[in-house]
Parts: sequence; C-alpha cells; structure tokens
Amino acid sequence: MYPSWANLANLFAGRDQKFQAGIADARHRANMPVFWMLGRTQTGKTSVIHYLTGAPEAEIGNGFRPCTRYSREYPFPNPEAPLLNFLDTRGIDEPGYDPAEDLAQFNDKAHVIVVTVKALDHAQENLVRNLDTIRRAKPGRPVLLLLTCLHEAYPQKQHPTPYPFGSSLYPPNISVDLTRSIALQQDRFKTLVDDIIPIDLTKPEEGFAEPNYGGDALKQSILDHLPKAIRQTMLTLDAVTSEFRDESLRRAMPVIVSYSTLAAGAGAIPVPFIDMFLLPGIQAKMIADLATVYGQPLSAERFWEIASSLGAGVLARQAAREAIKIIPGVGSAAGAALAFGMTFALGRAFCIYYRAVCQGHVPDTGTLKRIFEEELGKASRFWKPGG
Amino acid sequence: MTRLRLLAIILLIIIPLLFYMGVGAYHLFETGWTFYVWWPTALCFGTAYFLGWQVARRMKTKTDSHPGDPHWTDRDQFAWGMVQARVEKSADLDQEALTQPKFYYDTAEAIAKELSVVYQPGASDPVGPVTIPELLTVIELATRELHDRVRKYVPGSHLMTIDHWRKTQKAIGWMKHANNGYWVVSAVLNPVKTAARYLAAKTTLTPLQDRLQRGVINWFYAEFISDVGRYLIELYSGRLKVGAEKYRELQEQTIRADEGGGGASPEARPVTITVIGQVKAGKSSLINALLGERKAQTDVLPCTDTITEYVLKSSGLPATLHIMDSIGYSHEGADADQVDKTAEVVRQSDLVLLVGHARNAAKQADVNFVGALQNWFRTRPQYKIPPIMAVLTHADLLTPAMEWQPPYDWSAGIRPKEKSIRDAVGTARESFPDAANIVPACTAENRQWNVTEGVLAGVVNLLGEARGVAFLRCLDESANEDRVGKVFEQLWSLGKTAYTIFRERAGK
Repeated sequence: MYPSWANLANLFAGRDQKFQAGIADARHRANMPVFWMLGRTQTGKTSVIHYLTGAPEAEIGNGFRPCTRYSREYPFPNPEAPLLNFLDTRGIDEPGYDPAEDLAQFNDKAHVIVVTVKALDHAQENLVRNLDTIRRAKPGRPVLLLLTCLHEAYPQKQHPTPYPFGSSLYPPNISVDLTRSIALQQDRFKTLVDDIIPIDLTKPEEGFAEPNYGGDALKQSILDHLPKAIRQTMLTLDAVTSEFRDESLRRAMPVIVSYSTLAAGAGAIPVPFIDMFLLPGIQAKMIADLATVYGQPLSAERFWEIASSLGAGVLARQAAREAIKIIPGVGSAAGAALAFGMTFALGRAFCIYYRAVCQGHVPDTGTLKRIFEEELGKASRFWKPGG
Repeated sequence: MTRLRLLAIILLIIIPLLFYMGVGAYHLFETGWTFYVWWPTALCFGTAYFLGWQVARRMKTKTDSHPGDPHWTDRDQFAWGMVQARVEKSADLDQEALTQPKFYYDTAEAIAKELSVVYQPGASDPVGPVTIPELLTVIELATRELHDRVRKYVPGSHLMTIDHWRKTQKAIGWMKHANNGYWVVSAVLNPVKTAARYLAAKTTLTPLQDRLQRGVINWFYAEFISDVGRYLIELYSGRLKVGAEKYRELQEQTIRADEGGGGASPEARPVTITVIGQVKAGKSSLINALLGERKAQTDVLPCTDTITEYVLKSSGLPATLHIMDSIGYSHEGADADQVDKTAEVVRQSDLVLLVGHARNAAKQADVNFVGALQNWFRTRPQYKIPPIMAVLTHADLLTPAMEWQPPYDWSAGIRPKEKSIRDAVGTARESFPDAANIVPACTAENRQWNVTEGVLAGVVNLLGEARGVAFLRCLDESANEDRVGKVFEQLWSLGKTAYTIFRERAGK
C-alpha cells in the first residue's frame, strides 16, 4: 500500500520542486510563532529559549544558524518542521549595527519581540536606539521586556518567594536597589515595550532553589500577547511537555508535535488532494527523525513494515477529509485537524512500538492499530484550531 | 715621593716571598717533584679558567639583554634593536682597534647615521635638522653615564690613565714574551718534561689571559655603543629638546623614583591612573576598595557624571597614586562631550584600569574605546600608550552564584567558582589581547576579594612602565612650554650684546 515510506523522507531533501513548494506553503499555514530576541550577550537569551522549548542549552547553541550579517535563528525542534522559531540579533549592541537588514528579513515574520536586559545593567544606549527603530517599523507587534539576573541585586541570597512580581513591578518585599533599578529600566523602555517581566532563569549549578524564577509569568505574558492564530502552538507544546515526563519522550514529543503541526498546515491548504501528496512525505520524515532521536535509524524501516497495514484505514480517512475540503470555510479547518491527528497518532505509535521492541516483544499489527486509534482520539486534546 | 715609598713597602713585602718562590721552585726541580706538584696547580688554573669564562659570559649577557628604557615607544624599541645588533657584533672586532679613541668617534657617527634613518625615513640628510645643543646633550649624557659605570665596575679606574689603557694591551704582550722565554730555558734543562707541561699550560693559562683582557675591553666598548645609542634615540625622538639638565631632573622624578626603595620619596612625581569602563561596571566601587574607604559615590543607578580625582598615599606604595574616576560610557545619558572628556583624561594618564563586569561578556563598547585609544597613539609615535590593566569586578556573581567563600585560587584551583573565574579571565583575554594584565576581583563592601593582593599589586608591577609614559609626557610638555621663552631669552641677550658693542663703538 505504502511501498516506499522510507524513501518518501528523502523528498524533504530532494529536488522535487512541487513537493518543496507545497511544504513551504504548509509551513506558512502551520502558524509557527516567531520570537525576535533582542539583547546584549549573556543577558539570558539562551536561558529563555531553553525554558520555552526544553531543549538543552548546548543543543540550542549548536542549533543556531546564521541568517543575516548580525543575526541567527534557531528553529525548534528542527529546521524541516519548526514548531517555534527564535531569531537572535546578536549585533544589537555593536555601534555600527543597522537594523535595516534584519527588518527587511524579519519584520513580516516576527510575531513577538522579546528584549532581555539585565535588571542592573544600565549601559543600554545601543539597544534603546535600535529597539526604537524596530518598534516604529511595526508598532502593533508586541514587545516584551524581560529584566533578567535579578539575583545580582541580592548576591548570595535566595529569591524572595513566592514570585512577587505577579501583579506589580514594585512589590513591598524586594530590595530597594532592585526597585530603583527596575524603575529606571521602566522609565527608559516605557514607550518601547508592552509588558515588563522580571525573571531569573538560572542553571541548576548556580544553586538557586527556584531555577525558573518568574518562568510562569513569562509564559503567561507570551500567551497574552501572541496573536490568537498562533497561540495554539504554544499551548500544544506546553501541554505535551507537561504531560510527558519521561526523558526520551520529552525529546520525542516536540518532534511529533512539530511534524503534526506542519501536517495540519498542509491540511489547511484549501486545494483538495494536495496534502495527500504532502502528508506521506511529512510523516515519513517524522518517523526518520524520531528514529534518530532514539538513536535507532533501523527501527524506522521495521516499523513501516507493520505500519503499512494501517494504510487502508488511513487512506479512507484521507479521502473523506479531501471531500470535506470542498465545503467552503469548514473544510480546511477540519482537514487541518485530521491531518494533525493522524500524524500525531502515527508518531505516538512509533514511540510505543519502539519502547515495546526495547522490552523484547514486537507488537503485532492489531496492537499497533489499536494504539493508533487511541492516540488519534487523544490528539484532539492538543489541537484546537484557531486557538 | 709617596709613590716611591709605597713601592718600597710593596717590594719589601714581596721580595722575601719571591725568594721563597725561587728557592721552592728550585727545590722542587732538584727533587724531581715538579711533575707531581704540577697537577694540583693545573687543577687550580683549570677552575680559575672556568670561573673566568663564567664571569666573561655574564658580563656579555648583561649588556646583551638590556631591555631598553620603560618609556620607549615601539619605534624606539626598533631602533634599540639596531643598537643591540651592533653590540653583539662587537665581539668579532679587531682588539687592537678597540684601544684607539678614533674608532669610538667613528662608531658613534655610524650609529647616528644608522638610527637617523629610522626616525627620518626618506630624508636626504637625516642628521641635518638636529640642533647643536641637542648633539651636545647626547654627548654629555652618554659620557656621564659611561663615566659612572666605569667608576663602578672597573676596579682602580680612578687611577687609570690613557697610557695605562694602552699599556694594558702591551703588558699582556710582554707577559707572553716572558713566558715564551721561560719555556725555552726549561726546554734546554729538561726537554721531555717541559714538552708535556708546555702543552698542558697552553690549553689552560693562555686563553684565560686573553679572555680576561678581551672581557674588560669588550665590555667597555659594548657599554659605549649602548649609551650613545640610547641617547641618540632620545635625541631623534625629540626628547632632548629640554636640555641635559632638565632631562636628568625629570628622569629622577619619574623613572628613577622607585629605585631608592621604601616609600614614595617626596619629590617623586605621582602616577596618574584613570579608571574607565561602561556605566555601572563598578569603577567607583573599585576606587573605594583601593582607597579603603567610601569616598567615591556609588549607587545601583549610574551616578558618576564628572571626572573626580582621588589620591592614594601609603607607606607601602613606591609612589603616590592619583586615581581618576571617569564617566561610564554606553549610557544613553552620557553625551559625546563626556566621552571625549574621558578619552582626553585617559590620554593624559600613566596607567589605565579598564573595569568590566565579570558576568557580562558584552565588551564591545570597551573594545571600541580601547581601539580608539590605540589608534590615537598609533598616529603619534612620539608618545607611548599607557599600559592597560583590566579588572573584572563582581567575581562573586560568577557560577555558582549562590557561593562566595574566598579566598579563591583562580589561576589553578579546581572549585567550580575558581573555574568560572578562570574562564571569565580567559574570555576577557580574547577581547583585550593587548591588556598588560587581567585581574578578577570583588569590590562590594564586606565581600571584598583580590583588591590589594590582585589589583593593587598589579598596579605596582606596572609602575615602571607607567613612569615611562609619565616621563615622555612631561618631557613633551616642558619642551613645548619652554620653547618660546628660550627664543626670547636668546634674542634678549643677543640684543644686549649688540647694544653694548654699539655703545662702545659710539663712545669711541
């Protein structure tokens, strides 16, 4: 039924123009949130990305790819099917920096600007100047100011608990130095930002009782300010990462969600049957990536041997979905949801299959089919079209 | 008369000894013991030869490794390299020529020509523009220096005449002749034994004599070249415009001030240190920590908006330190005027302390500031850039941030904090490859670490170089301020003379 699943994965890297164009369209429709990070080096940009994605910091560092003269990007979890994209303008603090080049590239893409500033660092001349230019280019786009490294105001002391900045920037129980510093920062950035979140994301080795101090406030602020249409991805990612505690699953789930979201994007293309052509490639690439995450590239092929039996049911559903698309308005949303669910279920099925294999018993076709159906049912929990 | 008496006394002491020597030698010869006695003698001579060789070598290395003066610029160091090359070649020169005064004059002229090319490249007559008083100053300074050194290092030099100098050469010649005569007589008396002894003596005694003689004369020549070279460099750099006296006076005040040891001498010129850094880097806190009291105003918000001078005087310090607290840059409140003012103060200082936050790798503003400073000095080769010492403050905030249990052995320790400090210093080293020194510290009150033993010790280590910078600047200042006055003075005395002559003529 699905004769060359594994080969389909190669479509991604392949020269098939039509396929690539289709994937690009799908990516566009997948509503991936794009964060534009601005801040001097070592103000905690990587810590923020680490907190939002769960990816190890070293991996984030290696995952950055240069995109403009002064900037780089980190597509999470991978460049093929990114779930979140982080643009990092490293050159922001250089005196010769001109934001024109980055604006040309990012102005339409970026949904939220995240500015990181050390709470006590007042050498912000270049940052303020460039942020002003960037802000003017699209005044409606939310800008969040994160005041980081709060502990520098109270060296060798633990953070005040519970997190006091939930409702006010000037709660009573924090040090005078920090209050005055925050006041100066607020005054400096008042016309440039929409929200200010004091935060202190530290590595465990720093020795703080709460390494993600202010993390919840950050997440809430992002959700409050993200455009509705793309909020869903954040919610989905948050839901899956909080649901699955297992270490390898924590790494696998973002991959599944990212390809499922991409599949949803493909499903949302209002032209009937085009995603029938795209979906197998997306799913094949997902399985190949998952196998890499687990470090067992071979297990992907063996999985396909059994999974091909799922084919009949899958195909029938796909056909039904294409029919729905013909109904204007309803069609593409439903198509997207189904494409998400099927890709999600397939990815989950692979994870369960892989675990079973490791425990010494290869599941038969029937078991796999049951798992697939179960996960398809769960998928709707993670996907609510339109946020 | 006194000399005759002295000679008589010496002779009266020596004659009996010489007699014993003669009788003893004859006895040894008679009994045939000479052969056995010769071996311990040879051993003594051998050791003496070895020691003499060591002394000669040390003398040579002493002149070779002269590092040049601390206030010299890169161009001066290059010229100094040429002088040193000449010193090295001096070992191969004809020994006879070294005793001729004319040879020294010719050498001085040759060095002057050679060095002038470095300072006036492309000029058709590079030596031409040098003024006569300047040339006289070179001679005065160089000869005075040489004079001091000869008195100090050559024993009995205060009694030495030119005649003696020439005779040293000849005296050694006579000794050789006398020696040869001795061998001839011995050979007639005992041919076989003499042949053996002659061979042994040739390999030990003769080279030792040569070496000692060569050592003193070569040393003198090398010192001569160095001194003439050094002051020619000062001449060509325009630093002798102030005249020999003023030059020496400034040198006493600045460079030589700490050679006396102990605390700062009252006439020693203070060393000016400017503390620079981005806003809130901790400049004022560092100054307070150095002064040991809260004098500079500090705050969690940027607060230093003028340049303030503080004086650090301590019996343990070889100089009084004038510490300038500057305005931090990279602050949207600081206008271009203030940044220019800071740059100006830095150019006028002898030593620069670049203060940066240990946790903040965003040193771009610092790199730019230092780069601009280096460029300013690059276009002015007559000045020397002050040495820059980087201080990384807030070391207590490095990973692990919750821990602060000094002392930390940051250069070799294995605790996580020590490793973090080491990494921070390494990163700073990459940003500032030209920094003379990079020192981590914590300047916060009641958490102080490495301020005295690290920062202050580092400053003291750099005082020599800082004094060199001060010396250059003072020379330039006093040369410029006196120039108009000097011309006026000369015109005045010329006018006076002319008037006197005119009156005398008119009177007649």
